Amino acid sequence: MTKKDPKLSESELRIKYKEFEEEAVPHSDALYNYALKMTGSPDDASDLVQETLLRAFRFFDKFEKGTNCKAWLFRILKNTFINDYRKVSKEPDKVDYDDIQNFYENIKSTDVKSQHFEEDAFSDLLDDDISVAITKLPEDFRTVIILSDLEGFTYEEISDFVDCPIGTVRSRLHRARKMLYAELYGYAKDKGYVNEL
Amino acid sequence: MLDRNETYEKLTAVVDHEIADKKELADLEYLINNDDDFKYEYLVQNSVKNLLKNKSHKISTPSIVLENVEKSIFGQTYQTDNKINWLDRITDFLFTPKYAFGAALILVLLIIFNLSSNLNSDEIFISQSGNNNAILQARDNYHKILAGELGVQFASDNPEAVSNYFQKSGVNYATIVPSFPKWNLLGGVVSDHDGIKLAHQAYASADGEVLYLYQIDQKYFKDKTVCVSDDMNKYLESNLFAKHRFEDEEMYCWKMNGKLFLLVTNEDPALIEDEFISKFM
Repeated sequence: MTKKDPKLSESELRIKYKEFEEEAVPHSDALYNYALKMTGSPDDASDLVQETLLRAFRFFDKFEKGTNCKAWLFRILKNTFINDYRKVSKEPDKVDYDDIQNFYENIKSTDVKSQHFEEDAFSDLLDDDISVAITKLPEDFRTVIILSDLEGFTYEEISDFVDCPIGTVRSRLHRARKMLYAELYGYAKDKGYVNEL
Repeated sequence: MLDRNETYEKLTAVVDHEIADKKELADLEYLINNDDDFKYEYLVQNSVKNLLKNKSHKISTPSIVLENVEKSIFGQTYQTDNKINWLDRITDFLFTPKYAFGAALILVLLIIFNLSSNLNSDEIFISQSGNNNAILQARDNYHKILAGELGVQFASDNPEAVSNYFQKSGVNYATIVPSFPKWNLLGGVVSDHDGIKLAHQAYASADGEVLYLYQIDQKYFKDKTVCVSDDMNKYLESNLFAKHRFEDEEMYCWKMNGKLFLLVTNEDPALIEDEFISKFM
Protein backbone atom coordinates (compact mmCIF):
# COMPACT_ATOMS: atom_id res chain seq x y z
CA MET A 1 0.00 0.00 0.00
CA THR A 2 1.31 3.46 -0.75
CA LYS A 3 1.39 6.06 1.93
CA LYS A 4 0.22 9.54 1.14
CA ASP A 5 2.98 12.04 0.48
CA PRO A 6 1.42 15.23 1.80
CA LYS A 7 3.99 17.41 0.05
CA LEU A 8 2.88 16.51 -3.49
CA SER A 9 0.00 18.15 -5.29
CA GLU A 10 -1.81 16.11 -7.90
CA SER A 11 0.08 17.76 -10.77
CA GLU A 12 3.41 17.11 -9.03
CA LEU A 13 2.34 13.53 -8.45
CA ARG A 14 1.57 13.16 -12.16
CA ILE A 15 4.99 14.53 -13.11
CA LYS A 16 6.65 12.14 -10.68
CA TYR A 17 4.61 9.24 -12.06
CA LYS A 18 5.51 10.14 -15.66
CA GLU A 19 9.21 10.01 -14.81
CA PHE A 20 8.66 6.78 -12.93
CA GLU A 21 6.75 5.34 -15.87
CA GLU A 22 9.61 6.16 -18.23
CA GLU A 23 12.45 5.07 -16.00
CA ALA A 24 11.19 2.23 -13.80
CA VAL A 25 8.10 0.65 -15.37
CA PRO A 26 10.02 -0.68 -18.43
CA HIS A 27 11.85 -3.00 -16.03
CA SER A 28 8.63 -4.50 -14.71
CA ASP A 29 8.85 -7.57 -16.98
CA ALA A 30 12.35 -8.34 -15.72
CA LEU A 31 11.09 -7.93 -12.16
CA TYR A 32 8.11 -10.17 -12.83
CA ASN A 33 10.19 -12.94 -14.41
CA TYR A 34 12.65 -12.84 -11.53
CA ALA A 35 9.81 -12.84 -9.00
CA LEU A 36 8.16 -15.74 -10.76
CA LYS A 37 11.31 -17.83 -10.55
CA MET A 38 11.91 -16.87 -6.93
CA THR A 39 8.38 -17.52 -5.68
CA GLY A 40 7.28 -20.21 -8.15
CA SER A 41 3.78 -18.72 -8.13
CA PRO A 42 2.24 -16.23 -10.60
CA ASP A 43 0.03 -14.76 -7.85
CA ASP A 44 2.93 -14.25 -5.45
CA ALA A 45 5.05 -12.85 -8.27
CA SER A 46 2.32 -10.34 -9.16
CA ASP A 47 1.97 -9.24 -5.54
CA LEU A 48 5.71 -9.00 -5.15
CA VAL A 49 6.15 -6.86 -8.26
CA GLN A 50 3.23 -4.65 -7.33
CA GLU A 51 4.63 -4.04 -3.85
CA THR A 52 8.10 -3.45 -5.29
CA LEU A 53 6.87 -0.84 -7.76
CA LEU A 54 4.84 0.94 -5.10
CA ARG A 55 7.83 1.10 -2.77
CA ALA A 56 10.04 2.23 -5.62
CA PHE A 57 7.59 5.00 -6.44
CA ARG A 58 7.55 6.20 -2.85
CA PHE A 59 11.30 6.48 -2.89
CA PHE A 60 11.73 7.49 -6.50
CA ASP A 61 13.01 10.93 -5.55
CA LYS A 62 15.85 9.14 -3.73
CA PHE A 63 16.83 7.29 -6.89
CA GLU A 64 19.85 8.94 -8.49
CA LYS A 65 18.97 9.62 -12.12
CA GLY A 66 21.43 8.16 -14.58
CA THR A 67 22.39 5.27 -12.31
CA ASN A 68 21.25 1.70 -12.80
CA CYS A 69 17.49 1.79 -12.26
CA LYS A 70 17.08 -1.92 -12.95
CA ALA A 71 19.59 -2.82 -10.25
CA TRP A 72 17.89 -0.40 -7.84
CA LEU A 73 14.48 -1.97 -8.50
CA PHE A 74 15.87 -5.47 -8.06
CA ARG A 75 17.29 -4.47 -4.67
CA ILE A 76 13.86 -3.24 -3.58
CA LEU A 77 12.31 -6.46 -4.87
CA LYS A 78 14.86 -8.52 -2.98
CA ASN A 79 14.13 -6.71 0.29
CA THR A 80 10.40 -7.07 -0.27
CA PHE A 81 10.83 -10.75 -1.04
CA ILE A 82 12.91 -11.35 2.09
CA ASN A 83 10.57 -9.38 4.32
CA ASP A 84 7.18 -10.37 3.01
CA TYR A 85 7.35 -13.59 1.08
CA ARG A 86 10.25 -15.84 1.92
CA LYS A 87 9.23 -16.25 5.52
CA VAL A 88 5.67 -17.27 4.68
CA SER A 89 6.04 -19.16 1.44
CA LYS A 90 6.59 -22.86 1.46
CA GLU A 91 9.77 -23.62 -0.42
CA PRO A 92 9.53 -26.45 -2.95
CA ASP A 93 11.90 -29.40 -2.50
CA LYS A 94 15.40 -28.27 -3.35
CA VAL A 95 18.19 -30.22 -4.95
CA ASP A 96 21.16 -30.89 -2.71
CA TYR A 97 24.50 -29.69 -4.05
CA ASP A 98 26.51 -32.66 -2.76
CA ASP A 99 24.08 -35.18 -4.23
CA ILE A 100 23.98 -33.49 -7.56
CA GLN A 101 27.74 -32.98 -7.57
CA ASN A 102 28.17 -36.78 -7.53
CA PHE A 103 25.73 -37.17 -10.39
CA TYR A 104 27.52 -34.42 -12.30
CA GLU A 105 30.90 -36.07 -11.79
CA ASN A 106 29.47 -39.34 -13.15
CA ILE A 107 28.21 -37.67 -16.30
CA LYS A 108 31.48 -35.81 -16.69
CA SER A 109 33.64 -38.87 -16.22
CA THR A 110 31.72 -40.80 -18.88
CA ASP A 111 31.62 -37.90 -21.31
CA VAL A 112 35.28 -36.98 -20.93
CA LYS A 113 36.37 -40.58 -21.39
CA SER A 114 34.26 -40.95 -24.52
CA GLN A 115 35.27 -37.49 -25.77
CA HIS A 116 31.58 -36.74 -26.02
CA PHE A 117 29.58 -33.75 -24.93
CA GLU A 118 25.80 -33.72 -25.16
CA GLU A 119 25.75 -30.33 -26.75
CA ASP A 120 22.33 -30.64 -28.33
CA ALA A 121 20.77 -32.85 -25.71
CA PHE A 122 18.84 -30.00 -24.16
CA SER A 123 17.54 -28.41 -27.30
CA ASP A 124 14.32 -30.42 -27.14
CA LEU A 125 13.63 -29.62 -23.51
CA LEU A 126 10.64 -27.40 -22.91
CA ASP A 127 10.83 -23.95 -21.38
CA ASP A 128 8.82 -25.34 -18.49
CA ASP A 129 11.45 -28.02 -17.80
CA ILE A 130 14.04 -25.29 -17.53
CA SER A 131 11.85 -23.13 -15.30
CA VAL A 132 11.15 -26.03 -12.96
CA ALA A 133 14.84 -26.90 -12.78
CA ILE A 134 15.71 -23.30 -11.91
CA THR A 135 13.01 -23.16 -9.24
CA LYS A 136 14.48 -26.27 -7.62
CA LEU A 137 17.87 -24.67 -7.12
CA PRO A 138 18.62 -23.45 -3.59
CA GLU A 139 17.86 -19.73 -3.30
CA ASP A 140 21.46 -18.43 -3.27
CA PHE A 141 22.26 -20.32 -6.46
CA ARG A 142 18.95 -19.53 -8.12
CA THR A 143 19.44 -15.82 -7.51
CA VAL A 144 22.84 -15.59 -9.19
CA ILE A 145 21.95 -17.69 -12.19
CA ILE A 146 18.77 -15.74 -12.91
CA LEU A 147 20.52 -12.41 -12.52
CA SER A 148 23.46 -13.45 -14.68
CA ASP A 149 22.00 -15.64 -17.39
CA LEU A 150 18.46 -14.36 -17.69
CA GLU A 151 18.83 -10.72 -16.72
CA GLY A 152 22.35 -10.02 -17.93
CA PHE A 153 23.69 -8.50 -14.70
CA THR A 154 27.48 -8.22 -14.37
CA TYR A 155 29.31 -9.92 -11.49
CA GLU A 156 29.74 -6.53 -9.85
CA GLU A 157 26.01 -5.80 -10.02
CA ILE A 158 25.18 -9.26 -8.67
CA SER A 159 27.75 -8.83 -5.92
CA ASP A 160 26.09 -5.58 -4.89
CA PHE A 161 22.67 -7.21 -5.04
CA VAL A 162 23.52 -10.25 -2.91
CA ASP A 163 25.99 -8.42 -0.64
CA CYS A 164 28.78 -10.90 -1.35
CA PRO A 165 32.26 -10.59 -2.83
CA ILE A 166 32.60 -11.11 -6.57
CA GLY A 167 34.52 -14.36 -5.94
CA THR A 168 31.49 -15.75 -4.10
CA VAL A 169 29.21 -14.73 -6.95
CA ARG A 170 31.47 -16.53 -9.45
CA SER A 171 31.63 -19.62 -7.27
CA ARG A 172 27.84 -19.75 -6.79
CA LEU A 173 27.28 -19.22 -10.47
CA HIS A 174 29.71 -22.00 -11.33
CA ARG A 175 27.95 -24.41 -9.00
CA ALA A 176 24.49 -23.25 -10.03
CA ARG A 177 25.21 -24.02 -13.69
CA LYS A 178 26.61 -27.42 -12.81
CA MET A 179 23.55 -28.22 -10.71
CA LEU A 180 21.27 -27.06 -13.46
CA TYR A 181 23.21 -29.04 -16.05
CA ALA A 182 22.92 -32.22 -14.00
CA GLU A 183 19.24 -31.61 -13.33
CA LEU A 184 18.47 -30.96 -16.99
CA TYR A 185 20.60 -33.91 -18.03
CA GLY A 186 18.33 -36.04 -15.85
CA TYR A 187 15.22 -34.64 -17.58
CA ALA A 188 16.78 -35.13 -21.02
CA LYS A 189 17.72 -38.70 -20.17
CA ASP A 190 14.20 -39.47 -18.94
CA LYS A 191 12.83 -38.18 -22.23
CA GLY A 192 15.32 -40.18 -24.28
CA TYR A 193 17.25 -37.19 -25.60
CA VAL A 194 20.58 -38.51 -24.28
CA ASN A 195 22.10 -41.96 -24.12
CA GLU A 196 22.03 -43.90 -20.85
CA LEU A 197 25.18 -43.57 -18.75
CA MET B 1 48.87 -21.14 -7.82
CA LEU B 2 45.15 -21.91 -8.05
CA ASP B 3 43.94 -25.41 -7.31
CA ARG B 4 41.90 -27.27 -9.89
CA ASN B 5 38.49 -26.35 -8.47
CA GLU B 6 39.39 -22.68 -8.30
CA THR B 7 40.50 -22.84 -11.92
CA TYR B 8 37.19 -24.47 -12.87
CA GLU B 9 35.44 -21.49 -11.30
CA LYS B 10 37.63 -19.14 -13.32
CA LEU B 11 36.26 -20.81 -16.45
CA THR B 12 32.84 -19.55 -15.42
CA ALA B 13 34.26 -16.05 -15.55
CA VAL B 14 35.66 -16.76 -19.02
CA VAL B 15 32.17 -17.73 -20.20
CA ASP B 16 30.80 -14.50 -18.72
CA HIS B 17 33.57 -12.31 -20.18
CA GLU B 18 34.56 -11.30 -16.67
CA ILE B 19 38.30 -11.89 -16.96
CA ALA B 20 39.92 -8.52 -17.52
CA ASP B 21 43.56 -9.63 -17.39
CA LYS B 22 44.59 -10.65 -20.92
CA LYS B 23 47.36 -12.97 -19.80
CA GLU B 24 45.08 -14.76 -17.37
CA LEU B 25 42.48 -15.11 -20.08
CA ALA B 26 45.06 -16.53 -22.51
CA ASP B 27 46.22 -19.04 -19.86
CA LEU B 28 42.67 -20.18 -19.23
CA GLU B 29 41.92 -20.48 -22.94
CA TYR B 30 45.04 -22.60 -23.30
CA LEU B 31 43.71 -24.94 -20.61
CA ILE B 32 40.33 -25.15 -22.31
CA ASN B 33 41.95 -26.10 -25.59
CA ASN B 34 44.45 -28.58 -24.18
CA ASP B 35 42.85 -30.34 -21.24
CA ASP B 36 39.68 -32.42 -21.58
CA ASP B 37 38.60 -31.78 -18.01
CA PHE B 38 38.80 -28.03 -18.35
CA LYS B 39 37.25 -28.16 -21.79
CA TYR B 40 34.28 -30.11 -20.39
CA GLU B 41 33.77 -27.68 -17.51
CA TYR B 42 33.89 -24.79 -19.93
CA LEU B 43 31.37 -26.43 -22.30
CA VAL B 44 28.97 -27.15 -19.44
CA GLN B 45 29.10 -23.57 -18.21
CA ASN B 46 28.74 -22.20 -21.71
CA SER B 47 25.91 -24.49 -22.75
CA VAL B 48 23.83 -23.76 -19.64
CA LYS B 49 24.31 -20.04 -20.09
CA ASN B 50 23.28 -20.21 -23.76
CA LEU B 51 20.38 -22.50 -22.99
CA LEU B 52 18.95 -20.09 -20.44
CA LYS B 53 19.52 -17.14 -22.71
CA ASN B 54 17.83 -18.75 -25.69
CA LYS B 55 15.20 -21.07 -24.31
CA SER B 56 13.84 -19.44 -21.20
CA HIS B 57 11.02 -17.29 -22.52
CA LYS B 58 10.16 -13.99 -20.92
CA ILE B 59 6.67 -13.51 -19.57
CA SER B 60 5.10 -10.07 -19.59
CA THR B 61 3.95 -8.57 -16.32
CA PRO B 62 0.18 -9.09 -16.03
CA SER B 63 -1.44 -5.79 -16.98
CA ILE B 64 -3.47 -5.84 -13.77
CA VAL B 65 -0.24 -5.38 -11.78
CA LEU B 66 0.63 -2.12 -13.50
CA GLU B 67 -2.98 -0.97 -13.37
CA ASN B 68 -3.08 -1.60 -9.64
CA VAL B 69 0.15 0.32 -9.13
CA GLU B 70 -1.22 3.31 -10.98
CA LYS B 71 -4.53 3.12 -9.14
CA SER B 72 -2.81 2.90 -5.77
CA ILE B 73 -0.67 5.93 -6.52
CA PHE B 74 -3.45 8.12 -7.84
CA GLY B 75 -6.12 6.70 -5.57
CA GLN B 76 -4.45 8.66 -2.79
CA THR B 77 -4.96 11.90 -4.67
CA TYR B 78 -8.58 11.20 -5.47
CA GLN B 79 -9.16 10.40 -1.87
CA THR B 80 -7.59 13.72 -0.91
CA ASP B 81 -9.80 15.53 -3.42
CA ASN B 82 -12.88 13.86 -1.97
CA LYS B 83 -11.89 14.97 1.50
CA ILE B 84 -11.59 18.54 0.30
CA ASN B 85 -15.08 18.33 -1.22
CA TRP B 86 -16.50 17.07 2.02
CA LEU B 87 -14.76 19.87 3.93
CA ASP B 88 -16.27 22.40 1.50
CA ARG B 89 -19.71 20.97 2.09
CA ILE B 90 -19.33 21.02 5.86
CA THR B 91 -18.06 24.61 5.74
CA ASP B 92 -21.07 25.68 3.63
CA PHE B 93 -23.37 24.00 6.10
CA LEU B 94 -21.73 25.55 9.17
CA PHE B 95 -21.88 29.07 7.81
CA THR B 96 -25.63 28.99 7.15
CA PRO B 97 -27.05 31.70 9.55
CA LYS B 98 -29.61 29.47 11.25
CA TYR B 99 -26.86 27.05 12.28
CA ALA B 100 -24.46 29.80 13.44
CA PHE B 101 -24.49 28.92 17.17
CA GLY B 102 -24.06 25.24 16.52
CA ALA B 103 -21.33 26.03 14.04
CA ALA B 104 -19.40 28.08 16.60
CA LEU B 105 -19.65 25.24 19.10
CA ILE B 106 -18.49 22.64 16.56
CA LEU B 107 -15.59 24.85 15.50
CA VAL B 108 -14.41 25.17 19.12
CA LEU B 109 -14.62 21.40 19.52
CA LEU B 110 -12.76 20.86 16.25
CA ILE B 111 -9.99 23.25 17.36
CA ILE B 112 -9.65 21.45 20.71
CA PHE B 113 -9.65 18.09 18.97
CA ASN B 114 -7.07 19.30 16.48
CA LEU B 115 -4.77 20.64 19.18
CA SER B 116 -4.91 17.44 21.15
CA SER B 117 -4.61 14.94 18.33
CA ASN B 118 -2.78 16.53 15.44
CA LEU B 119 0.61 16.99 17.03
CA ASN B 120 3.65 17.35 14.80
CA SER B 121 6.39 14.76 14.95
CA ASP B 122 8.65 16.88 17.21
CA GLU B 123 5.87 17.22 19.78
CA ILE B 124 5.18 13.50 19.54
CA PHE B 125 8.81 12.60 20.20
CA ILE B 126 8.96 14.88 23.23
CA SER B 127 5.71 13.52 24.67
CA GLN B 128 6.87 9.87 24.94
CA SER B 129 7.00 8.42 28.44
CA GLY B 130 7.18 5.15 30.41
CA ASN B 131 9.80 2.46 31.03
CA ASN B 132 8.43 0.31 28.23
CA ASN B 133 8.58 3.16 25.74
CA ALA B 134 10.69 2.09 22.75
CA ILE B 135 11.79 5.60 21.88
CA LEU B 136 13.13 6.27 25.36
CA GLN B 137 14.76 2.84 25.42
CA ALA B 138 16.42 3.51 22.06
CA ARG B 139 17.85 6.85 23.18
CA ASP B 140 19.05 5.35 26.44
CA ASN B 141 20.75 2.45 24.62
CA TYR B 142 22.39 4.83 22.18
CA HIS B 143 23.84 6.94 25.02
CA LYS B 144 25.10 3.79 26.70
CA ILE B 145 26.82 2.70 23.47
CA LEU B 146 28.55 6.07 23.16
CA ALA B 147 29.58 5.95 26.83
CA GLY B 148 31.02 2.47 26.35
CA GLU B 149 28.52 0.99 28.84
CA LEU B 150 26.78 -1.13 26.22
CA GLY B 151 28.72 -3.24 23.72
CA VAL B 152 27.56 -5.67 21.09
CA GLN B 153 26.93 -9.22 22.35
CA PHE B 154 27.72 -10.67 18.96
CA ALA B 155 30.41 -8.83 17.02
CA SER B 156 30.33 -9.43 13.29
CA ASP B 157 30.23 -7.43 10.09
CA ASN B 158 28.38 -10.25 8.37
CA PRO B 159 24.64 -9.38 8.11
CA GLU B 160 23.64 -13.02 7.74
CA ALA B 161 25.59 -14.02 10.85
CA VAL B 162 24.00 -11.22 12.89
CA SER B 163 20.58 -12.15 11.61
CA ASN B 164 21.21 -15.79 12.55
CA TYR B 165 22.38 -14.68 15.98
CA PHE B 166 19.08 -12.87 16.52
CA GLN B 167 17.09 -15.97 15.60
CA LYS B 168 19.24 -18.31 17.67
CA SER B 169 18.96 -15.98 20.66
CA GLY B 170 15.18 -16.22 20.65
CA VAL B 171 14.12 -13.21 18.59
CA ASN B 172 10.78 -14.42 17.33
CA TYR B 173 10.32 -12.27 14.23
CA ALA B 174 12.09 -11.73 10.91
CA THR B 175 14.81 -9.13 11.31
CA ILE B 176 16.42 -6.97 8.65
CA VAL B 177 20.18 -6.60 8.81
CA PRO B 178 21.41 -4.87 5.67
CA SER B 179 24.99 -3.93 4.87
CA PHE B 180 26.04 -0.51 3.62
CA PRO B 181 29.12 0.76 1.81
CA LYS B 182 29.34 3.81 4.09
CA TRP B 183 28.82 2.12 7.43
CA ASN B 184 30.31 -1.01 8.90
CA LEU B 185 28.09 -3.41 10.75
CA LEU B 186 29.45 -3.77 14.28
CA GLY B 187 27.17 -6.56 15.45
CA GLY B 188 23.97 -7.27 17.34
CA VAL B 189 22.43 -7.29 20.78
CA VAL B 190 19.36 -9.20 21.95
CA SER B 191 17.54 -7.68 24.91
CA ASP B 192 15.16 -9.54 27.20
CA HIS B 193 11.82 -8.02 28.19
CA ASP B 194 10.15 -10.51 30.53
CA GLY B 195 11.14 -13.33 28.23
CA ILE B 196 10.45 -11.45 24.99
CA LYS B 197 13.63 -11.08 22.97
CA LEU B 198 14.15 -7.96 20.90
CA ALA B 199 16.83 -7.21 18.29
CA HIS B 200 19.27 -4.32 18.20
CA GLN B 201 22.15 -3.72 15.83
CA ALA B 202 24.82 -1.05 15.44
CA TYR B 203 26.85 0.38 12.60
CA ALA B 204 29.73 2.86 12.49
CA SER B 205 31.21 5.03 9.77
CA ALA B 206 34.93 5.41 9.10
CA ASP B 207 34.64 8.79 10.87
CA GLY B 208 33.24 7.17 13.98
CA GLU B 209 29.60 8.17 13.56
CA VAL B 210 27.45 5.57 15.28
CA LEU B 211 24.12 4.27 14.00
CA TYR B 212 22.06 2.31 16.49
CA LEU B 213 18.98 0.47 15.22
CA TYR B 214 16.25 -1.10 17.30
CA GLN B 215 13.64 -3.23 15.51
CA ILE B 216 10.48 -4.48 17.16
CA ASP B 217 7.61 -6.57 15.88
CA GLN B 218 4.35 -4.71 16.48
CA LYS B 219 2.75 -7.83 17.96
CA TYR B 220 4.49 -6.87 21.19
CA PHE B 221 2.64 -3.55 21.30
CA LYS B 222 -0.62 -5.32 22.16
CA ASP B 223 0.42 -6.39 25.62
CA LYS B 224 2.61 -3.29 26.07
CA THR B 225 5.81 -5.33 26.38
CA VAL B 226 7.21 -2.37 24.56
CA CYS B 227 5.35 0.48 22.89
CA VAL B 228 5.26 3.98 21.54
CA SER B 229 2.44 6.46 22.12
CA ASP B 230 -0.79 6.24 20.10
CA ASP B 231 0.08 9.59 18.51
CA MET B 232 3.34 8.18 17.22
CA ASN B 233 1.59 5.07 15.92
CA LYS B 234 -0.94 7.20 14.06
CA TYR B 235 1.74 9.50 12.73
CA LEU B 236 3.74 6.61 11.33
CA GLU B 237 0.65 5.13 9.68
CA SER B 238 0.37 8.16 7.40
CA ASN B 239 4.00 9.27 7.02
CA LEU B 240 7.07 7.57 5.65
CA PHE B 241 9.00 8.21 8.84
CA ALA B 242 9.18 10.52 11.82
CA LYS B 243 12.33 12.27 12.90
CA HIS B 244 13.42 14.50 15.71
CA ARG B 245 16.65 16.25 16.61
CA PHE B 246 17.48 15.75 20.27
CA GLU B 247 20.40 17.69 21.76
CA ASP B 248 23.21 15.63 20.30
CA GLU B 249 21.56 13.06 18.14
CA GLU B 250 18.88 12.53 15.56
CA MET B 251 16.17 9.91 15.96
CA TYR B 252 14.13 8.34 13.18
CA CYS B 253 11.17 6.00 13.43
CA TRP B 254 9.40 4.16 10.65
CA LYS B 255 7.15 1.18 10.22
CA MET B 256 7.57 -1.54 7.68
CA ASN B 257 6.03 -4.98 7.34
CA GLY B 258 4.54 -5.00 10.82
CA LYS B 259 7.73 -3.87 12.48
CA LEU B 260 8.77 -0.63 14.08
CA PHE B 261 12.31 0.60 13.41
CA LEU B 262 14.02 3.16 15.61
CA LEU B 263 17.33 4.61 14.55
CA VAL B 264 19.45 6.90 16.74
CA THR B 265 22.56 8.46 15.28
CA ASN B 266 24.83 11.45 15.00
CA GLU B 267 25.36 10.82 11.28
CA ASP B 268 24.46 13.40 8.61
CA PRO B 269 20.63 13.35 8.27
CA ALA B 270 20.73 13.61 4.46
CA LEU B 271 22.88 10.50 4.26
CA ILE B 272 20.63 8.66 6.67
CA GLU B 273 17.48 9.39 4.71
CA ASP B 274 19.03 8.71 1.31
CA GLU B 275 21.17 5.71 2.03
CA PHE B 276 20.06 4.08 5.27
CA ILE B 277 16.31 4.32 5.65
CA SER B 278 15.66 3.86 1.94
CA LYS B 279 17.27 0.42 2.17
CA PHE B 280 14.47 -0.70 4.48
CA MET B 281 11.61 0.41 2.26
